[in-house]
Amino acid sequence: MNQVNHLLLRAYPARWRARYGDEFEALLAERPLGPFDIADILLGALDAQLKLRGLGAASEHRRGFSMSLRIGGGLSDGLTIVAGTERGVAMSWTIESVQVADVDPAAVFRLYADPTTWASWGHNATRARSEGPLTEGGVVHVRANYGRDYPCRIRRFEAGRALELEVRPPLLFIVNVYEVERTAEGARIRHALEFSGPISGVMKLAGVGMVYRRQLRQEVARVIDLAKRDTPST
Amino acid sequence: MEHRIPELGRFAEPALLILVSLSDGPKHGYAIMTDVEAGSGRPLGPGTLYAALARLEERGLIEALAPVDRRRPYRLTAIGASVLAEQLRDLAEFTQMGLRRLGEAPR
Repeated sequence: MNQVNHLLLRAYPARWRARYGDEFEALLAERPLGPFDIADILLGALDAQLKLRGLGAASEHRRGFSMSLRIGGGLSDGLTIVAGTERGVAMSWTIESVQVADVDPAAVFRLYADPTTWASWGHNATRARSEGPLTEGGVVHVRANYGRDYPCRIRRFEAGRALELEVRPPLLFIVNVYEVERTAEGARIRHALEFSGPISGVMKLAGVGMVYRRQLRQEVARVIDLAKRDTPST
Repeated sequence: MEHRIPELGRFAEPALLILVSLSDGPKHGYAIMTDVEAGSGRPLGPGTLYAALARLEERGLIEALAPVDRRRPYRLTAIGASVLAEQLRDLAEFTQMGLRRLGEAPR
């Protein structure tokens, strides 16, 4: 696969690539791509990214969605995607860091379940406090690195397994996902950030994901390190 | 009808061309592209093709077959054939009405 095709394919969401990537790659290799093809593929990738949840292009766009991906469709019309939905940009994208480590998953989850530890491993927390035990629907108040306090609503809490927090900064909706599961090696740890909301598309195009991806990697590494220290050696 | 092509919005036209292309047998993506281009005289880009294929597949109008050398053929389902036939009949009626208004006899 040549580099251009590879880059074009990378513009599609991972889950879309898992379903269609192989055959799409074979299709792109059939003939040299012209400017029309490249523009069409990029718009196709944007369409696949414009999903709120679920499998890439399998998601349903809302009525009234403006999209010019069609035979002979104009590019200028295609750009109206950015403002073409009732709630602004209906783009949802996720970044994640997954690591497997020789660590006790229970020790990892203890860190998730104790907001007083979040400042020591969270990518954007200098302080966190909860008004009680973590439960779904509850709120944890977190002070961000830039000094502002913001409420995180707990949308999922599975003891020993997963924690999900919703944060709603202006024009954004962010879900922080923290998951741990036992494996033969010890634990599989996944931290993810799911972005949606009116300016999420702009953030993605601006390359914000690259910054957060690095921060998530560091965050998972810190969790592993802290959990190992919390685990009595045998 | 539950699966009308117009519900695909801007993808209705590519979707219709894809369904027509598949009406004489399964085809993989590149074969659909060349068939549509030959039949309509207009190019069908890879991005549009797969955006429409995904929508048709999720609505059960087409189905994916086992890949052959990484090329995955698609075929029309029974529902897809029914929807396509209805859509073509609607278009035929519309064409006839337009021609009548122009004072031309439908051929």
